Amino acid sequence: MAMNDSGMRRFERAIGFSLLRDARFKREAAMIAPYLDAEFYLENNADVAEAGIEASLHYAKFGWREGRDPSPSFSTKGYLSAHPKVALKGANPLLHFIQSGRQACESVPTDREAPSEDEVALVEEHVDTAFYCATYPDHAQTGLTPAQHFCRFGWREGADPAPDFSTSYYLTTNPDVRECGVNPFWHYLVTGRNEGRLPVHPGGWRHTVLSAQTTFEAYCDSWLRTDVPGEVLDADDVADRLDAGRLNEKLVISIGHDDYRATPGGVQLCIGMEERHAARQKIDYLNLHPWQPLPKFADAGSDPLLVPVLNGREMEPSPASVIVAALERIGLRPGAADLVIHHLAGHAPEAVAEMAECLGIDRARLWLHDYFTLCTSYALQRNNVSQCDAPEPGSNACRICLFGAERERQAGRMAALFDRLDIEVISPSRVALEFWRARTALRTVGEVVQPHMRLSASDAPGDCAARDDAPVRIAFIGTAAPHKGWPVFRELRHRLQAEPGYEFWYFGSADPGLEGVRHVETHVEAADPDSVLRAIASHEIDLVLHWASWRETFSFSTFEALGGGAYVLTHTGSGNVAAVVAEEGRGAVLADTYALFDLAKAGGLRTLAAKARRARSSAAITARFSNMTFDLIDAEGAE
Amino acid sequence: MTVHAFTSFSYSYLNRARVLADGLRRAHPDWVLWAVVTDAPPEDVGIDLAEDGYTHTLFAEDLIGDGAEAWLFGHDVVEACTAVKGAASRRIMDQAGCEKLLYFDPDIAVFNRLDEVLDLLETADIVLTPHQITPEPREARQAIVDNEITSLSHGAYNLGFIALANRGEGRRFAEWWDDRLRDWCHDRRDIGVFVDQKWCDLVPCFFDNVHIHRDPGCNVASWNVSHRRVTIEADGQVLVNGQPLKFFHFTKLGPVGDTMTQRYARDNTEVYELWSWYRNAVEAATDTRIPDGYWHYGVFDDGTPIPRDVRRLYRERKDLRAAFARPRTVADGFFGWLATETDLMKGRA
Repeated sequence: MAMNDSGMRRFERAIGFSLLRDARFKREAAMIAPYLDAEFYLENNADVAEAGIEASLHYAKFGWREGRDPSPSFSTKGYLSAHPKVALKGANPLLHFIQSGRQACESVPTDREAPSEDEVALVEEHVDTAFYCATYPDHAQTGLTPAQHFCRFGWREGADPAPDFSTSYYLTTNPDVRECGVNPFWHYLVTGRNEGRLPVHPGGWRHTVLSAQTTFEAYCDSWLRTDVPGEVLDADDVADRLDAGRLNEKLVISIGHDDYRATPGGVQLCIGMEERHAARQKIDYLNLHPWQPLPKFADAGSDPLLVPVLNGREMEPSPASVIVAALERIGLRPGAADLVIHHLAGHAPEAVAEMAECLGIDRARLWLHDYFTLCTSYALQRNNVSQCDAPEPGSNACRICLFGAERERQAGRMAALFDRLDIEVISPSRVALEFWRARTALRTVGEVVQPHMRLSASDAPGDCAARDDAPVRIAFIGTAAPHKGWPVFRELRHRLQAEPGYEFWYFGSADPGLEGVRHVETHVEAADPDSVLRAIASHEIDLVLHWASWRETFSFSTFEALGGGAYVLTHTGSGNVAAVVAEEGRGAVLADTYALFDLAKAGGLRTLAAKARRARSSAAITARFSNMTFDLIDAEGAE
Repeated sequence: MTVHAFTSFSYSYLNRARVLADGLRRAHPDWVLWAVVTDAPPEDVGIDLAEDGYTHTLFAEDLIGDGAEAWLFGHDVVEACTAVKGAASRRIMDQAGCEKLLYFDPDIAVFNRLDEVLDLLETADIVLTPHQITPEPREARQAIVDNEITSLSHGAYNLGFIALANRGEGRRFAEWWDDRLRDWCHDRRDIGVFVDQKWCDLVPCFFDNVHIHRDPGCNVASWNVSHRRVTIEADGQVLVNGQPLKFFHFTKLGPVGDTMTQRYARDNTEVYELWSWYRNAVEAATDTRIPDGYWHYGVFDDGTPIPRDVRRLYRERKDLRAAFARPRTVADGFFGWLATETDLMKGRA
């Protein structure tokens, strides 16, 4: 409302000084204006109306001091009596109400049985229903929608309404909201986001990992089993059991880091497939894995319990020294045994060396499934959050890394193993071998590349040419974990969800619970290693995002994607993923996530999908598994 | 050339001082390290700082001499550990062969050699690092308040670090510093004083050969991380705006530091990695025999905490200082005087 000159002068005379000279009150007036009901104010304060002064300016300068109310829903006296500190400071109560976010807090009913309809409606618009249902499945029993449940119970129980809003973080970092006892998500939507308050820690999942991390020792403790091993056998008993289980002349001893039959993963798949191949070739296959898996070597001087699995049959665990003694007693013919080291975590490398020496194995084979031979962090993940390149052990990066000190301890024992045994290193990819060789001085007697899978032109080009206008199908394969690139997939879906013509798919064992992502349950096992490849093909997936945060040494999922007819999106730091995509020309190798999102925004994913579809129909490729170490053993035997 | 470096702390910060010494030893194994301790260990607790890498240890009593108890009584722990810095500088500069002297707060961690600073001391006598070296943009009001306005009230230069050449202006500065800190090392922002830091705003006015070192790799902290991007390179080096990280000031380890760090480091994950490492390194270096918040001079000798108002009263009343030369010692009478003549100990004794 404007004030005419005579009105202003009359008012100024009444109050004794010029109102408009005071800039502070003008600023205050502007800030409270949206919250002040001018019509109500002037109707109830005839003197102000008569003077022709703007309602908000009057309230800022005099009104609140005189106990006048700015709107029917705000009691000046009531607010000041409820907030004595505000009264004591001589602060404008309406301004305080606005600035402290209390307009959000105090207009919300605190009765947990009845959140307001407005509150639920707003939360309804922003809650991630699929995420909420997957994360808090019990809520369904209440008969409430996710938004209703969150508003009534969820936030009080610490539930998050969406992956990008952390209830506990918001309440911890905003004590004023916590003190109000208000629904934090609703507060954020109504006012918090406009005030620059953060919905989640800006460090994201990495900060979550870091804040929970203490010492490497504590990290190892988190791996410890809670049960105890059963009967431990002596060397004679172990030798008897080995003899009883042996079927063939030749024996391959494979060293693994966990129970390959129970744990999904690439290394485990390799061991499982070797075991099956050995059976076909009439070769005994003895896997030795630690009863207690560890993210490091077994302690120096320890005698770790190993679980022998002979031709698929598990035996009682025994100390490594006992197994070495037993293997000595079974009287293997010289040259009848081969030693294949798939992984050394949880083992004492000294015992592995002793085993090879006792059995007269003059050349052991060691796989570079990952970079455990370079660093305790086998995937070279500094502090479990950032990709690193295995720098010098004394570097600052190693100094601040959870694995730094253990890496130095491990390096000496690893070098001793490589010095003691003649080891041939087998890398599943050229790129992994070159990276490894550039970062280690470990002595080897040979270094070969033996891919787990090979791509070749298909005998029968596909007949599944999709229509060009069909939605682009983008998939993620495997564990929905940060180091596999799941957050990038989620972000890509988020950015494209408003655009028509995209579908998002997930291929893995458990539903990741992300709205708009279709889940196809897949399990990888040695008995049916092609299952994922077939699923990709049958669902006509166009693009697979493989944004792993480490230098993959091989990447089954990349081969499964390509073999299934999809193109692969990856980044330059993904090791063999990037190498294979570049070599095959099926997909895109991008510099970073900015490049990915730019490509998506520019419609580049549609172009790539179209290429993938054309390739499926005209120049399909197939992916075939190798026989892992046996391709080398068999070749040696043939010589 | 002999370079000396020192830090000043009470035993509550022993863990941090150990982390500092470790970094200094890695970067400069040839330096002579001094621990200046304004504290006495808990009964039956032996602490040998030589085991932590410190070549020498100086105690406040060594520096202040007679009257140390009365003088320390006028200071809280932060004021006291700061107030001895000037006297310690003078003492160390008097050591034969000491050519350069650097001070580090105990909550600093050193990551790389400080050769550039040593080179600067070939020509400059005093090297200071500002809290901020890049202005906040006009629209960043919160950052202006948190960073620049705080510098206006607490001092432009961070006195968690200073480097001095043991000659001319360097020595003259140490004398002036000691003079001021003997009488005026208090948190009195109401009169424009904040321990030693606000005083040092005057250094460029009073002294020649002062170098304001604007290396983004020096004194990285929550108050400047809004303009410093930390990266960790493939070779394992930690860079700040492309320069090697020399030292990071891990001020306010805990929720307050966390809040400011996330406000300004945002998605710079490497900053959180540094903090995570520091938190765990400090934890590992903690001597569990030292109780939380321990400070020998924080309590009367019967264990009663000394209120801040009591310290202030004592240091401002010449008659009290004259009457009670050993105010911390209950048997000396000041404690009794407080109980009968004031309300300051009400409910506390």
